[in-house]
Amino acid sequence: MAMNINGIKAYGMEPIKPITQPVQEGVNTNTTEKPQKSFGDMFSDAIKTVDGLQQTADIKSQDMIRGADGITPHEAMIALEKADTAFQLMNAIRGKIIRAYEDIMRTQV
Amino acid sequence: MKIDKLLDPSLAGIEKAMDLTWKRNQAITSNIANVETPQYRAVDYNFSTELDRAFNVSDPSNQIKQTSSKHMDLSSESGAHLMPDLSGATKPDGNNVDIDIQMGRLAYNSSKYIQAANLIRKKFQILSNAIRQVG
Amino acid sequence: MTNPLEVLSSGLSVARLRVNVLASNIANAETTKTAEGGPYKRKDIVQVAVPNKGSFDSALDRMTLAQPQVAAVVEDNSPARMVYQPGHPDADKDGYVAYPNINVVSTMTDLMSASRLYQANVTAIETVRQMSSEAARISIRS
Repeated sequence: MAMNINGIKAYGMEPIKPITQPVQEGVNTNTTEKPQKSFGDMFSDAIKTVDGLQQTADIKSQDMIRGADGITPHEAMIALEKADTAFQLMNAIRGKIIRAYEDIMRTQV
Repeated sequence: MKIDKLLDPSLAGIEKAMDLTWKRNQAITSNIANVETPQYRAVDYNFSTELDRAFNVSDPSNQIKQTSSKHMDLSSESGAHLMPDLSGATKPDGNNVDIDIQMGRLAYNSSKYIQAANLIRKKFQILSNAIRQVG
Repeated sequence: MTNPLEVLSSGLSVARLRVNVLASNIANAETTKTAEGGPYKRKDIVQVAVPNKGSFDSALDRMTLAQPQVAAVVEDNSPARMVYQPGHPDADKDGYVAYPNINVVSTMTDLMSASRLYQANVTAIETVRQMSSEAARISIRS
């Protein structure tokens, strides 16, 4: 007996979409970016952003210690916190992705 | 998708407020140090509207405007210029610094800076806790 | 940008020197004979503003956000105040004694004012330190 997918919809559930398919427009409503990106692309963007933030934090910290002109007392601290928080966030997302992947791999089909 | 933009839109406003109050602090301290310098003219930065706008970023009614970075005028330094401070009377030696006004301003401005610092600290703490919960 | 602590330290030094000079004037208001001969001469400081080092948005900013400095300590060379006191050891041949041109009452007022201004600089330094300290605490996790 073929699985009646429409029957699932009747319960208010959506059929599962394969993970390898790129995220489609119209489904993802909370990003303003139109181009389709895979998880891999989005994740490497995130890594680059976090790396950039950490470099900025390094530079500003050095400036602060050297007593360079033009640095305010709060700049370096805020840069450090941003880098730290972004890194934490990235790690949390990575953790979730890995656990989701593991869950799926464990699923008996 | 930029992670730092995700984190908290109101952070940018508070950071800007700290930049502006720190800048103003330079004018105030120059005035105080030069209160007895003949011919010295008091100065100030005039950006109270910028400051209000920076703090109002966390006002819920402004949330809609934040989705486009063009709507927030925080990147422009339009209000942050040194201007003559005419709050004090000119003394016989040409100096016009009123020490009492400057000290009052010092107290007010520094309290704004410190408030902003505490706000930012709290926000980062909250973010950190939230991430730990989710992760 | 200026370094506010540097600016205020200059302010403190200048205020301190001003207080010292005024105190010296009061202490010597009746000094009729100094080591150089002649009465004590009233001293004053010449205070100027000097531009800050560092980068600024414009040359105008650099000039207006200034630090104070004492360019010179000068003496009052105006004619001494002559008082008729024939018995005085420092009296001249006509019986007049030369006194410093110092008005003690007004100098006292100036001294009190200078002292307040010194105190204002101290308060300002303390405030700036507090601001930096609070900024440093941004990274604290309670």
